[in-house]
Formats: sequence, structure tokens, C-alpha cells
Amino acid sequence: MIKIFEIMVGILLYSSFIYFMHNVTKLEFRYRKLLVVYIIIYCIIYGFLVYFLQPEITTFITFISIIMTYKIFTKISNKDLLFYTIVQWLIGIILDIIVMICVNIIFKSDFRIIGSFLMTIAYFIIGSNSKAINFINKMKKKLYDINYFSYLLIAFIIIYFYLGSFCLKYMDNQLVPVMIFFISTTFLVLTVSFIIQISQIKSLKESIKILTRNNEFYIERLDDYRILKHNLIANLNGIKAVTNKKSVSLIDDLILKYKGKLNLPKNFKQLPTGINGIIYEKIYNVIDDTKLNISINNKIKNNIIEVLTARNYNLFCEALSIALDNAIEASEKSKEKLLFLEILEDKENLILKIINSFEGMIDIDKLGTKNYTSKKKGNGLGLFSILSLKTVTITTSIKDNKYFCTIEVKKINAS
Amino acid sequence: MIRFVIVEDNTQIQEKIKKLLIKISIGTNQDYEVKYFEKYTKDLQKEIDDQTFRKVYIMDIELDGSISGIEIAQKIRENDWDSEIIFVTSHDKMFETVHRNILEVFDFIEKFLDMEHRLEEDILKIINKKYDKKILKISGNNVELELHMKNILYIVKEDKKSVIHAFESNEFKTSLTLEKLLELLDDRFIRTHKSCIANKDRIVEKNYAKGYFILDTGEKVDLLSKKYKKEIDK
Repeated sequence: MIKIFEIMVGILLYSSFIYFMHNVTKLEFRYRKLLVVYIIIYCIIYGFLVYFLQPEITTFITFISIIMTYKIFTKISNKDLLFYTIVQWLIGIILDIIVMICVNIIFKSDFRIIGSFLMTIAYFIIGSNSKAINFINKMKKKLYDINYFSYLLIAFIIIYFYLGSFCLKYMDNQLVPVMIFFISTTFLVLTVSFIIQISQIKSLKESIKILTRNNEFYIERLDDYRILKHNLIANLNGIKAVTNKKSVSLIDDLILKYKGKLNLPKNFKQLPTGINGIIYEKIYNVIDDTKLNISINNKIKNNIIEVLTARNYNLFCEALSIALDNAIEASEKSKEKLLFLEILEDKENLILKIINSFEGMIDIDKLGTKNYTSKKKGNGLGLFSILSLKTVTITTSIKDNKYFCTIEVKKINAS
Repeated sequence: MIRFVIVEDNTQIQEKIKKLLIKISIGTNQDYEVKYFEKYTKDLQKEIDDQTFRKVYIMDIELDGSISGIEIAQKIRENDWDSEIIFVTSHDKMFETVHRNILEVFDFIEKFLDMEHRLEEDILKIINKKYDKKILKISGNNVELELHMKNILYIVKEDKKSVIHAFESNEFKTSLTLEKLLELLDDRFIRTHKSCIANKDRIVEKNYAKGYFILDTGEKVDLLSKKYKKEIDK
């Protein structure tokens, strides 16, 4: 009679395993008719084993059966199957220990049937708890970062744990020496492989460290090169704006070398000298293609090269070139297409004000930081490089849908 | 109370504007006061700096002295984006579009082309316009952001950041939380979802069953939760 109860509870436990796996994996079963036949066969074999042999062997049969059920009747991947089996067994071991302790304390005896029944209930509860399922699936995502070898290692540790406890319990069984031999041999192989893996991982980590350091170094050099190239072209344009015809052709050649193309406006010869030259050169490249609404207001009466030191003139050209490029690109993409430029001076500073309309996303915490760009093809170095200029003050603000940029540079006679 | 600031060196035009303002005041029962200036002076600058009143500047472009009406408008806009500016001018309206948009000029009116009628229309429009100068100010690492609250449509939480959707297609990302932004905003902003705040003045349609609301710009936002229904429909 007890054997029949044991068989019934065992089958119930098996169904709780399947219920748990079904809820955790969220996979649909295929070949359903065949699955029913398979379960019936399993129940018969299980009943036979429990009735005529030791019940401990049935645990293996159940273990293998669940793996086979999922492998044959769902589209589960090997990695997922391995993971969920490990999880199920881990939960099983923990529950087994807790339930047995509780049963021993309450009934002062080892009632296996009660233990298995309580485990069945526990599996049904965990399997229907969405938080537990989410936790298991989150763990799965994290464990996917580790390699297959470590995965297998975890699996083997759990199997050994189980086999070890089995061997301890049934020391006089004939299968024990075979199992101990199997455990010792595979454990030896695994230990050796594990040591090799660890040393390989260590050398790999070193290589990655060196590669990361080199990569960071090259990225920094590349950024420096990009900034240098952009500023060089801005400076050359600045010099071009205040120099003679012969020098202009020499500078054009250099720009051609570094930039790869030269966007000269049609009426280049009529361009005014000084800062106006830079502004007109940039504006004329876009004025025909895009219908920008531009207003330029230069209130500087003196020749700009006489107002600024050579150093400040070059820095001002860099800042102007980058700020203007940004403003033109942003206003081109906006509906209003507004671009307002004003150059003025007070007693101490030469001031450039740029106002433009814009559309799109701006991260106000990241704007002006290295590698942040609001453009599709930007590299995030322009504004960052001009904000780091020490003798040029740049203030930027956004008011509704307009972007304001003010560049100030000290004049020669400034105190 | 609206303060009209007239900057005009032609006394005849000044007189015409004065009469027009009296006429409008009687017709609309609107309290107003007027200040006259002929050119840019220190007193005019003081007037520009004083932002305690709702103001309407009516200015000529070409004035006596070295500073033009456009430059005065620039000085106004250095700190004041809420006052209205109307240019009454015989200027050739060069760069009108840029100045109109950059300086947010309400209108350019030609002095000798039905000036009084158009000015009356403009002033009536301004009087009837809801005066709302509430601004959300946020500081970034290198930039100051100022947005008129009326222009903010909704704010959503995205990857631990808040994205402010303003106008039709401008978005501003900030690390401020939705809770912090709610503190900075006024009561027209309400929670519509655990990850969305919306400007209820801009919502034209709500569908709690399907979980979306539609804004006056036509944009549909799928972030409307029944949980906040009471507060939204208040």
C-alpha cells in the first residue's frame, strides 16, 4: 500500500517538475499525442522501479526523463536546457534538505512520502510565482556571459554533490566503487582542465588590459589629430582672410592637402578681409543649397588683426569656425532656418554672438563634453575643443528653440 | 496692466499711436500706461531693465542717434523674451524674416500703409493673448536651458534620464528625475503615467481604455494610465 502511495507521490512530483519547467521556460510543447504516450511509459517504468527496486534510482530516471521531455517535446536550446536543469536540481536539493529537516523535527522519523509531497507543493508554488520566474530568467541572462566550460563545471559540481551524498548513504552498495572511480577520474580531468583554463584566462586578461590601454591611447591620438586638423584649417582660413594673394594660393594648397576639398565661393575674390572673410566663406558654401535666413552684423570698425594679438586671433578663428559650422548645420535642419551673427566690441573684448534655430535632441548634461554630438555624423570634438580654450570665453545657452553662443576674446589694449 | 513703450522720433506718429491706445483702452476696458522715448537713452535702458510690467514696445527702426530700433530690440531680448515688440517703420524691411524670428518681433508695420488699422489689430491680439512668462530653467555642464512652460508638451523617462519634449520636435535630455521636474514646473503639469509628465493645457484628447493621449500638435503619446485619472481630470 505504501509503495502505491510512493508511486503516486513520485508521479505528482514529476508533474510538478514539468509544471515548473513549463512556467520558467515559457515554451510550448510539440508532438502532444506522443508526449502523452511518453508520460504513460514513464509512469509505468517509474512504478515498476519503485515497486521492485530501490527508490533512489528513480531520482535519476526522473532527472533524465525531464531532460528528455524538454529536449524532444520543445524547441529548447542545449544551453537553456542545461541551465534550467541545474536550477531545478539546485532548488530540489535545497527543498529536499529543508523538507527533510522539518519532517524529522515534526514526526521524529524520515517519512519520504510526506517529504516528496511537500516538495511537490513547493515546486507548484515556485513555478506559479512570477517574481521567482523573473529572478531565474534574470540569472540566466547573467550566466550567459560565462563560458560553456564554467557552465559544465557548475553542472558537474552539482552532480558530484548528489552522487557523493548517494555514496555516503549507501556505502555497501556494489555500484559505489564504480561511481567513486567515475567521480575521481572526471574530477581529475576537470581539475587539470580548470587549472589550464585559469592560467589561460589570466594571460587573456593581461592581453586585454594591454589592448585596452593601447586602444585608449590611439583614440586619444585620433581625437587630437581630428582637433588639430580642424583647428589647422580654421587657422589657415583665418590667416587667408588677412593675407595677400600669393599667400592665399599657398594656404589653399595646404587646406586641399588636409581637408581633401576646397569649397570656394564663386565670388571669392570679392570677399572682405578679416573675420568677415571666414564668415562669408562658410556661409557662401550653404547659401545656395539651403534657404537659410541669415543676418550678419559686423560692428568692428578697425582691422581685426590690429585689435587682437596673433595668438588670440588664431584662437578666435578656431572658435568662430567650429561655432559657425555647428550653427549652420543645426539651423539647416530646422524649420525656421535662422542664423544670426553679430561681431561687436567693448572696451576689453571682441565679442561674437551667434543665434540659430535648431531641431532635434540635445543632452544638456553632455553638451560640450568629449565625444558627445547632437549631429548624425559628428564626432563630439568641436564644442569640447573650443570650451577648453583658456583665453577665449564661450558661453552657450538654449532659450526655447534657439541656441545662443557668445565667444569673447581679450583685445590687445585690454587691461 | 500693460505698459506701452513707444520709441519714435516722429511726433506726428507718436500722437497717432497715443490716440489709438486711448481708443483701444475705451473699447476693451484695458488698464494701460504709456512711456515715450525719442531715441535710445539711459532712461530707456532703465525701462528695458525693469521687468515688473507686462510690456509692449512700439518702435521705429531708424531713430535719432547711433542706436537703431533693431539694436534696442536686441538689448530688450538680452534678458526679456516676454515683452512684445512691434516695429512701425518706413525701413526697407531688409532681413525682416531673420529679425522677426530671432528677436521674436510681433509685427513689422509700414508707417504709410494703413498703419493705424494694423497696429490696432496687433494690440488687440496682444491684449487677448494669454500672458504666460513662466520658465523652466535647468543648468547643464556647459549650457543653460530656458524653456517657456507653455512650450513644453510632455516629459518622459528614458534610460534613467528625463526627456523634455518641447515645440513640435525638440527634445532635451536631462539627468533630473521626473519628481524633481514636477517640483520645478507649475500645476499645469501632471503625471499621466509612472514614466510620463504632460502639460494638460496641451492635451486635446485622452483615451484611458487604450492608454494614450493626443496633443494639440497632433502627436499621440502612449503613456496614459488609469491610475492618474482623478488627478488628470481634476
